[in-house]
Formats: sequence, C-alpha cells, structure tokens
Amino acid sequence: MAINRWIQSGNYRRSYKEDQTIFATFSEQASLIVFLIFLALVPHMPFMNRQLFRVVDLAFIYTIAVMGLNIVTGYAGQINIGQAAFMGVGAYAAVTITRDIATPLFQFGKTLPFWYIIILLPLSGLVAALVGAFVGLPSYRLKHLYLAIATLAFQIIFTWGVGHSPFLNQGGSIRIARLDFFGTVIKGSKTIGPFFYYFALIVLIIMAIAMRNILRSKYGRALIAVRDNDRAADAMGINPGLTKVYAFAISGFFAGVAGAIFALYNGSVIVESFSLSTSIDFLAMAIVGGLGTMVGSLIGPSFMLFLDPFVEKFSGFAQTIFPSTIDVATAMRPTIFGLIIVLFLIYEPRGLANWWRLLRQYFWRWPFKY
Amino acid sequence: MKKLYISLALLAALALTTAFAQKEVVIGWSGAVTGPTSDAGKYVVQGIEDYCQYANDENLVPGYTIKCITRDDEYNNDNTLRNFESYLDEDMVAFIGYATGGSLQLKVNTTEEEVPLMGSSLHIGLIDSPDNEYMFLPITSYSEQVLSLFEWIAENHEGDGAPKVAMFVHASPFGRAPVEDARLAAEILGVEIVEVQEATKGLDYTAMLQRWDNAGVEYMIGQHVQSPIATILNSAKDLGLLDKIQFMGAHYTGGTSLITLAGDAAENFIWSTSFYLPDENQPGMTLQRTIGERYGRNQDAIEETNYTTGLLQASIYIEAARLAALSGDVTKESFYSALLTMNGDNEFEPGFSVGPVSFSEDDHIGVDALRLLQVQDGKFVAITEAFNSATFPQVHPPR
Repeated sequence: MAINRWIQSGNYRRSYKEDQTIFATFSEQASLIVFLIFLALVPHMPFMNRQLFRVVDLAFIYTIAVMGLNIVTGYAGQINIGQAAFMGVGAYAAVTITRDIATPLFQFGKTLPFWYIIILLPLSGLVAALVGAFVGLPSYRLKHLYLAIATLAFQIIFTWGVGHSPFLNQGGSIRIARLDFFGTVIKGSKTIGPFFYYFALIVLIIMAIAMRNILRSKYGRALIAVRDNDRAADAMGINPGLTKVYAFAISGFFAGVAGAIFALYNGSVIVESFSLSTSIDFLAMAIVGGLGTMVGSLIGPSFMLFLDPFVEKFSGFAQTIFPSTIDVATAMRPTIFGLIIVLFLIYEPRGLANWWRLLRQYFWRWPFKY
Repeated sequence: MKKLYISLALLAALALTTAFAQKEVVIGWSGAVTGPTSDAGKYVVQGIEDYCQYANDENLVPGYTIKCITRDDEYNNDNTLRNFESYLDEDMVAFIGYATGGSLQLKVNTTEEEVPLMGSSLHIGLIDSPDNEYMFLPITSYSEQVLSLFEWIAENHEGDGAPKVAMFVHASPFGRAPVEDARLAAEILGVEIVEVQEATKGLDYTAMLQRWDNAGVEYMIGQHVQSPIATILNSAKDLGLLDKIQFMGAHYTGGTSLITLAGDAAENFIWSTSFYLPDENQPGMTLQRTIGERYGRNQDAIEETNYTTGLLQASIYIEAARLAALSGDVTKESFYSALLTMNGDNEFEPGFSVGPVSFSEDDHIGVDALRLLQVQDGKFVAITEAFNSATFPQVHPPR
C-alpha cells in the first residue's frame, strides 16, 4: 500500500533514496513553510521593539555558531570550548579584510555595498575554517578532556593574542562600515534590527540547509561513526583523524560566518564579545538545545537568550529578599544557568530537541496514544 | 443630564491633567549591578538614582520630571547594547555607560542615534575619533591619571639612574587603555618601564612582586580595580617590600574601599583622581552626605567614590537638561547642544570634583584637573593641588 506522506505517523522510509530525503513527511515540510512564513511576518508585529529585535537577531546569529559547535561536539563527539574564539576569528577577519584589503582595493566610502557582503561572509568563514582545521590538529592524538583543554588553550591564546596585537587595536573596538542595501544605508537601530532579522534569518536558513546536507552525506555519517566508535570507523575505511579535523574546519566555518554577521550587525568588533564565557554559553546552548540534533541547535540559543532577561529580573527580586551585604543577585545568573545545564544533563540529555520530537509525535499519532 | 455633567467634569479634569502634566527627560544607565566589577557598579547606580530623585524632589529642571532608567547588564556588552536600544524606545535623550568594552562598542550607535554617552569608563579611546561626536568623559582619562603619576615619579625620584616602574593592568581594553601613552611619556620623562603585567584577578602576587624586586622595580602603577591592588599591597607587606616599592594607581584603584581591604598595607599608596573624598569639607561632599542620608543609603555607600561617580554623572546630565529647558523643549538635539554649551558662564560646579565641569565641541572631558592623594595614617590626604598632566597633551593630542 502506498504511504500517504501527509498523514504518516512514523518513519516508513523503505529505500536508501527515501532515507536520503530531507523531510520524512509532507506535513513536516508544510509546517516548516508555515513556520518560516510566520518568522517572515514577525518583524511586522506590533510588539516588536528594538530590544526584542536585538534578542531575536542575536539568537539567529548565535544559532549559526551553535550549529557549527553541534557539528564538532554533537555529531563528531569532539569537545570544543573555543567556539566564541572561532567566531571572533570570523569577526576580525571581516573587519581586517574590509579595512586593509577591500577598502583600498575597491575604494569603498562610508558604506559597504551588498555584493561585497555576499563575498565577505564566506571569506570570513573560510579564514575561521582554516584556523579551525589548525586547532583541530591535536584531535589526531588527543581525545575527551585533553582535547577540551587544547580548544580551551586556543580560546585563551585568541583572547591574549588579540589583546596584545596593535594591528587589532589591542582588542579595543575596530569599526566596520555600515551596509548599503541597494541605495538604503542600514544604520540606526530602527533599520538595523529589522534588516538583520531578515539577513541573519536567510543566512541561517542557508547554513541549516548546508548542515542538513552535510549530515546526510557520507561525510556526515563519517562524523557520527567517528563519534560512536572511532576504531570501528577506522576499520570501515574512515580516517578518524582527518574526519575530526574536517569537523573542526566546518565548525569554524559556521562560527566564522556568524562572527562576520555579528561584526556587521554591531558596526564594530571588540575582543570582549568572544570571551571564554561566551564559548561556555554556546556549549550550554548546544546542550540545552540537544547535542547531535539539528533542531537542538536552532532551539537552544533562542531559549537561553530569551531566558536571560527573566533571570535578570528574578535576580533583582531575589536581592530584595536578602540583606544588601549578601550579593545574591551576582550569584543568581551563573547558578540558574548552571543548574539548567546540570538538570538537562541528568534528566534530559537529549535536550529541548527531544521535547520537540515528543510533541511532534503526539500530534502525528493523535488521537491515538501509540 | 447628570451623566452629561459628570462626563464633562471628567473630560475637563483630564484636559487639565494633560495640560499641567510634567514632561519627562529620560536618561538611561546600563552597568554591572551584578557580575564582574559590580562592587563598583552597585554604588554608581545608587548615585545616579539618588541624584535623579533629588533633582525631582528639588525641582532642578522646572516643568520636567527626570526619569532615570537603570538596568543591570552583568558587565556583558550584548546586554549593554540591548539596554541602550530599549531605552531608545522610551525616548531617551542621554545615556550613561559603565564598562569600557560596552562603551567602546556603543560609539557607532551614539553617532547613529545622536544620543550622548558619558561613561564611568575613562578610556581615552572613547573620545578619540572616529564616532566621537557624542562621547564624553566625566573626568580626566586613565591616560592622564597614569601620566600624572609618571610625572610625580620623575620629579620626586631620588636614586641614581632612571626610575624603574612596573605597570599592573587589567587584561582588557580598560586596563590597556593608558599603556601606549605611558610608554611614550616614560621616554619623555626618562622613566624606565620594566614590565607591564596584565592580570584579571589573583589571590596571591608573591611571585610577581619577587620578580619585580629582583628587577629593581621602585614604583608600581596600577590600572585596575581596588581588590587586586589590595591583594598586591598585602603580599608586598608580607614580603617587606612596602619600603622598597612605591605603590600607586589610577582612579579605580583607590578610594575608601582600598583602605578597608588592604588595611595598614595601604599606607603611603598614591592615588590619582579628579574627585573629592567624602571626608573633605567641600560643598559637593556635604551634598553627597545629605543625598545619601535622605534616600536611606548606608555609610559604606555614602563614603564610596563610586557613589560620587554616579552623583557627578547624573548631575552633569541634569544640568544639561536644565540648560536645554531654558531654551525650549528638552529633546535629544537640544540636550546635546546644551551639553556642548556647558562652558564659560555655563561652566558647571556640582562640587564633587576638584575642578568645574565644562564641555564644548573640542572638549569632551568634563573635569580637566586631577590631584594626587596619599594614604597617611589610614586615610587619603591630598599631596598636590589640582593640576593637569603636562605630558598628556604631548603624547596624546586631540584625535
């Protein structure tokens, strides 16, 4: 009997070709289209103010970086505590390429043409990918915590190196010109917020499609094979070392693109934006979202960024209960976020992505329970 | 008919309320109430909130209510930018920044939004071009403070050869801010910088101090915050180095908290700042005590220089609002213009600092003078009159 791809309630893929499809069902495809239409309409909603635009825009940008982290940590199983530094490499690549190469070469004025941005993003990603591959080299010999320390070392070296480089203004802010989008200069928060909402969303969609395609190719399966058992993968003809380096390079590319958008969005780059705490935030976003799932990369950053203002308000409230000599508010944010990560690791290691899966299955099977 | 009268009365009341409603001047602040450096930020925000309330209670800007919105950013740049943009939705006319990183990142935004920013950060790069039209420093920069200490060393050094100085700076743009200018000034003044040590925080500085001692360091200049400086002083005391090395520091290294934290190890520490101290008999300090007591602050806050910082920042903006109100409506345009006319007859003397506050198109530093103070018998005592660093304009001309 032919399967109705609108109402099927499980995975009935019977051939390799069917297994290669991006969407299991038409309803999945349709719901994604509806969701994207909803996202396209969000900027026109009356509740969207500058603050919300910033939160959503940042969520989109960070999602791209977290997708990269999920490739290296979630799919390839290599712990990376330096994703913010890779993002920083992309951001600094964007500003220095623009300042020292593109501006003298193309005689840019106070704005950057949009065509240049289309070139700049992959170029910045490429620089970060090369750095990612280099940083990934220890993964030939190192595993687990030792590799984590190697990536941590990169994070520290990055922060120190930028902070001591006069070429990079010793980590102080370096300006990057605003965009000229076919005659409209994208400046001022009223314009930047909605513009980068769409811009980051489109890049995010492109990167998500790229990620999905990488993961369903033999290279993507190689990542998972190396994560699950690198000796078995080796026996099957996969080069584990090269696969890990390749995972770091892809991860770096994603982070680099995110960094370039981040630089364009803020109009300047400062080293403090790419600190160790940002790297740990990225790791938390990936864990809470769900390591090794694409949906997790998409949900995690939004969840954490939207939670932050509430934690801030709660911290303020908690401080009113305790005496002023006890600084409860300062401890509140790391405590709450730390607790969330620990609780997720203990009770829901598959992250929010699993809740999303259960929710979808509920509707697939409805009105039946099983 | 009765209903009609009631409706008319209500309408008239509404119309009167609207007619006599005070207009608002919105000033935004974003800083670290929690997180790193919150030991300073929590007092700065108290100063800002109290002065705003004081301005409303005393009707300092007739016809206007000052609305100071303050939000914690946990010393996180993303949060600072988020707060800044949310205040724009509330028609903010001026912004008070806090962290160096966040303020540096906001330079481009202030230009695009045409909203002035005066920060607690005294990084000279904030008022250097590009995007410096709307950036202001309330008092002298870190660079000028550090250079004033170099000048003191050059003038007072008694040994043979060039005085040997080690710098201890925070590992961030905040800490590195004066280093480049310090190197240039050291050459002019004939002072040798032996080492620039970067650090965020530490529990013990014994190794660093012993290294400096072996290298013959005679002076240490700190560009950091109070707690690590206090730790260094305590370590130096344990090593018996307090007589061999003269410890000194820029604005955020000193104040009452340093003495509390370091105890008698703080004795002889030299501090460069533009602020008066709460125990000085100055009108601004009397006002500080009055405001602090009126709004229920504890003694720690009232005696804190960071509380003075908040009071000064808020008072400057409120004075600008007053000047703007004199010439018409207070808008962000008129507010900015008023800020730039705060010179000559319009010079502002709130009494919190050793000199008057003045701004113009070419001068974006409020208080241009500073003093050196030294801990003597457990309290800071001025060892110089108010002055300007002579080397600062040579090494850092207006950019």
